[in-house]
Amino acid sequence: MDGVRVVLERDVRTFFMNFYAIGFRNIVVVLDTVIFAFILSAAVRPGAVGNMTYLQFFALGSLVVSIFWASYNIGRDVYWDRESGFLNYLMSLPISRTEIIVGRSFGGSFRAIMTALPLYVLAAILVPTTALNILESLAVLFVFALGLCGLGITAALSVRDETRARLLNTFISLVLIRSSTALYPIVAMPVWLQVGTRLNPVTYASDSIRSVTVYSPQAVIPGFDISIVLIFAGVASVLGSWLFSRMIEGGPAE
Amino acid sequence: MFFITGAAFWAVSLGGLVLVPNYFQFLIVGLMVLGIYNTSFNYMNVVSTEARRGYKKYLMALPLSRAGLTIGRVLAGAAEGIVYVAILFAFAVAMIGFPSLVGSLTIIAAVIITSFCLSSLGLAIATHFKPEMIDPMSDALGIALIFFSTLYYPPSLMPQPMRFVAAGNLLSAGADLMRAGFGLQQVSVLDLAVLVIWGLAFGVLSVRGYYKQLNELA
Amino acid sequence: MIEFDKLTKVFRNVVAVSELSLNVDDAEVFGLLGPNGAGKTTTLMMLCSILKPSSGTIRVDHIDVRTEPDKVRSRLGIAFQEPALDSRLTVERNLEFHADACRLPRDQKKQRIKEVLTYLEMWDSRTQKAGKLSGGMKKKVEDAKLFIQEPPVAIFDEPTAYLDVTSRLKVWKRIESLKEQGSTVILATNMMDEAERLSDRLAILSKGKLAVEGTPATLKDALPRGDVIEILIGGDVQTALDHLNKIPEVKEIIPLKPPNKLRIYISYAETNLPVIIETLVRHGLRVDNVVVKEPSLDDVFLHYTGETL
Repeated sequence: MDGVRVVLERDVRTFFMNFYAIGFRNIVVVLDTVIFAFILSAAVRPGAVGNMTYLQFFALGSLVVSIFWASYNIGRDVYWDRESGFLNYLMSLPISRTEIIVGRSFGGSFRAIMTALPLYVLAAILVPTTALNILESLAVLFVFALGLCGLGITAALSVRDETRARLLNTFISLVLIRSSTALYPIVAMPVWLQVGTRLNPVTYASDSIRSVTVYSPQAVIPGFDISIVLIFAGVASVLGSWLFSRMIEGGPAE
Repeated sequence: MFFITGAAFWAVSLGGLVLVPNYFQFLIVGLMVLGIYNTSFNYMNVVSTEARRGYKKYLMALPLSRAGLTIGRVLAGAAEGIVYVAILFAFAVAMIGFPSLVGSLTIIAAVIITSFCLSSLGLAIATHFKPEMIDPMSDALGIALIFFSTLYYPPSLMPQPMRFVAAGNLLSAGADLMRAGFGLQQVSVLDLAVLVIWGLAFGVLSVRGYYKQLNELA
Repeated sequence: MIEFDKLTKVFRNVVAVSELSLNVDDAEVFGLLGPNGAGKTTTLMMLCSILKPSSGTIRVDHIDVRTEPDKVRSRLGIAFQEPALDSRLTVERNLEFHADACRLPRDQKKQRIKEVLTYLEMWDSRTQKAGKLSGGMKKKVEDAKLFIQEPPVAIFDEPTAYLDVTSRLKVWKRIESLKEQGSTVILATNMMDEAERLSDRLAILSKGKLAVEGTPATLKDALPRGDVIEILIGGDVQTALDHLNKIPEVKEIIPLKPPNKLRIYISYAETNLPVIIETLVRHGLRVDNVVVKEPSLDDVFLHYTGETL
């Protein structure tokens, strides 16, 4: 566990070194949410987002999107660590491969939660909630972020070419976010898009956040969304950890 | 292709959500401009990466004039956006329908000038701010440009102060000119004027900034 | 002890290391020489379990790197050819990270960092971000990691690249004291003077293969060409060549520029030099200048690989 602690500490430390820029960026994201959703609210179909306003709906979904970007982008950090040779250095240390990826995943999740804090505050202001709900939703988001870190790291290490890495990231992030209920409800989507949306972990993360704050009629079984998020996080983390160890050590001769 | 896929999902879903006539077509054109923005504006990352990796020093050691390097940089960023939007244009045609000849020329002009404006703006940011401030600055500007514009919503949905800002926004101008080209609304000379003015302003800023940076390194 | 047994690494169609077999004894400084692309860094990467061998084995104190890499890594430390520093962290934080990762006791960590940075004249730079350092300073910080860690096996890949003369000497002294403390040191280098000064034994790699192995002295002595005498002659060069070639100990004579300068490869130069001078004088030739050189590691490398460094 010492290895996990050392790797995690580095991620946290470097995160806070850039806090000014991150803080500024967060304010910008909050403004983005408020402006876009506020304006569109006036034109949204009545009843499309259940018993909440589109602004509330969007604020909670933006929280998930923000967590997605921040945690998935730990993969970009790992990619640059590899390109710069720092990953080789980490791998030469008396720290196991599993400790490296667990440390980075926890570091990435922490960074994601901290990055999304201003949006969290905004959501807490806009959406009626309790302290217990806030804790519940934080826990869900943290677990979701863990899974995304695993996914991001796996994606980053799967390709060596920078252009391909960017394309893969663009694919995963754009398509996953746009074919989910993060920013618009499933009832607004055409049937063909709904199929993919129901297989998308971002959908369940978004719906679970809404279900722990404001009951959404779209969640048939309130705990169902959370269960999917937990399964996704477990599978993505284990897969990421296994692939990481395999790719770096024990893989076939190139 | 991935951007187009994401954009398609977005447009089709918001189109089913928002009670604005022809919102789907409206948004598709807005997403075209967003595509130009992503490519041309983010050209600044190419420039700052080059500087960080020492490649700029290599360019400066070549038998090329500083002026040539600078102008080449600005035009290269614009060209990237233009090439990228060609694919988006095909997508928009598939979604909206073929524009007329005059409409096509209007769209092409709008694309070229918008790309130039955005790549110049990106280069101006890359050359006037410290590396660690580039991301926050570009985010802030991006928010102002994107959300105080008609990319995602028509002026009729905006409060009055926002409409005023959007009217002078280069992304609004580019998007509205392209919508006019597709026959979704009337052409406005004001939009063209806005693009040209911003193009000149950012062009001068970017050329000055990059040229100065090259000579400071020398 | 470190044992490499028929170690091979293939990248796609490129054989980077081919059937490398050698042993490194405890508490010795073992030099790995070879030009760029010889396979030195690849070999070290496999030793550190960063790369997986295509075939063959590496054992550190009888522990197989492939089956127990974590155990092996707890015994070694490596200073990379290209410094692997987090550019966002300060010099001091980078070293603290390394100390923590290597589980150095807290009470020793700060003290060792201060001592090593002071020794390398970097204490005043400890709060500078690693990304802002010059190439030489980054290299010193990279080496400092091992000086702080003091691992049982210390691996240095070009430890004095980019360093000024004073810093080179300091790093060398520190490497020597690591050995005195009982560490085994593997030193990959392109610099002959460094290899000669520090290595108890060395191996020369060429195109992924082991060309030769031994102590610097035995490798030089084993050269068939022997010692070198460079002599500036007053008189006819051809006459000199004719008579000198008759001396049995002379192995080869190469005319050099300027004219009248000869390089003579001969066994035991100091003993045979009077014979050469006497032969020349006897035949009416003048000796204007004489230089006697022992073969260098460069000559060793040239002989075994057909290349020069």
